[in-house]
Amino acid sequence: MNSVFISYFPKTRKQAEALAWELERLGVSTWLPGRQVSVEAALESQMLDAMKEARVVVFLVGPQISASDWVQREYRAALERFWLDEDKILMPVLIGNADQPAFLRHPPSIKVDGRRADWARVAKEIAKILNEGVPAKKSRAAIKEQTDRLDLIEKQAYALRASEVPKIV
Amino acid sequence: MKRQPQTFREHFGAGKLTTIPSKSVFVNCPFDDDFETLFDAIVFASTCCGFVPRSALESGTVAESRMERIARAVFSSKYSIHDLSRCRGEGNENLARFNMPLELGIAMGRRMATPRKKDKHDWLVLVREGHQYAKYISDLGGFDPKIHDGTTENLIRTVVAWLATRPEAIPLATPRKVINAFEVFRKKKAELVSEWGREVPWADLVLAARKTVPRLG
Repeated sequence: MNSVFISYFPKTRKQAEALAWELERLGVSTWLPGRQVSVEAALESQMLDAMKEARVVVFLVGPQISASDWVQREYRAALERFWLDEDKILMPVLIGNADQPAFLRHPPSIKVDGRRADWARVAKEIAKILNEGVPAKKSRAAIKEQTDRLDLIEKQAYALRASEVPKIV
Repeated sequence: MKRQPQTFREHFGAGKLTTIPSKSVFVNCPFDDDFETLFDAIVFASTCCGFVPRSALESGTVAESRMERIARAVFSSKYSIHDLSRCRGEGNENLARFNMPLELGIAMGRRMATPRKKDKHDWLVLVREGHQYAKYISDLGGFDPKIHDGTTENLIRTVVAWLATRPEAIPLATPRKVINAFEVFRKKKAELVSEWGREVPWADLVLAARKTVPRLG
């Protein structure tokens, strides 16, 4: 059974391997998806199984890189697994000034510079999370973000409704 | 000569009614009775994810061609959802509807016409289980259409899983809560239909969805 699934962008593969190596040193099993297009269907099936088994899903996000189609599939799979099993922990690890993926905006994240020495620290933090879990807390920021966006939708809908009354010019 | 009075209206997505493309999703689905519940499910799921749903229906019966309205709505939305389930022979004449693939083509054109990667249009294509899309739009083969079973529950999960992972999505309740709230939205829509008949203003539909979104906290 894999305890930690590591999702990474193609450009952050080396960092993902460094993190996996540090986790394995601590006795934590890991799963990193391969990238062979020729076996994509089989890879997707393996990815879904590994995502299901993993207790923690780590998202390694590099700076100024858009998520590829494959990474977006991993995001969707992780979110769908999380909806079925809220004990699963989704953990973003942001390299440099990388933006946190929107669907992970409010869980706690780990920030790193991307140096080799960082990965031992990150591995220890993840191992600790595996043992102790993440303290559950209600995110006020998430509630505010939802409220603000719904206000925007309402404003736009009212603007549309106002436009439905013909004017004379 | 004295200028004749003209009626005009500003269109949603233009002028002072400009929407924010990155927070808008164009819904391209059949509008008929058979698909109505699924159409509502997509509108509601989109709103729950924090997006303004856009549609060819939004500007009512104004003097603008349907194609112009659709193109304007697609070009002012970063995202679009296309259900191709109805692209199969129907009725005595066994005719298929091709509005949906046509509108998907507009969305693809918008993506190609957008220079900046982060602003590029992105779409979700939906097909029913057992659908033969690959046989008549083989160019779609590489776009990984999502298969749904024709139930609102399955469709909501599919749409939420896609939209919730877009960069502009907001945190939302679980799909189970969205599915439960959908029934409340349907009741609100039924009230609108009893007032407006089949011509429910798009804005009112969006407002009903927005008021039904399950809140966090």
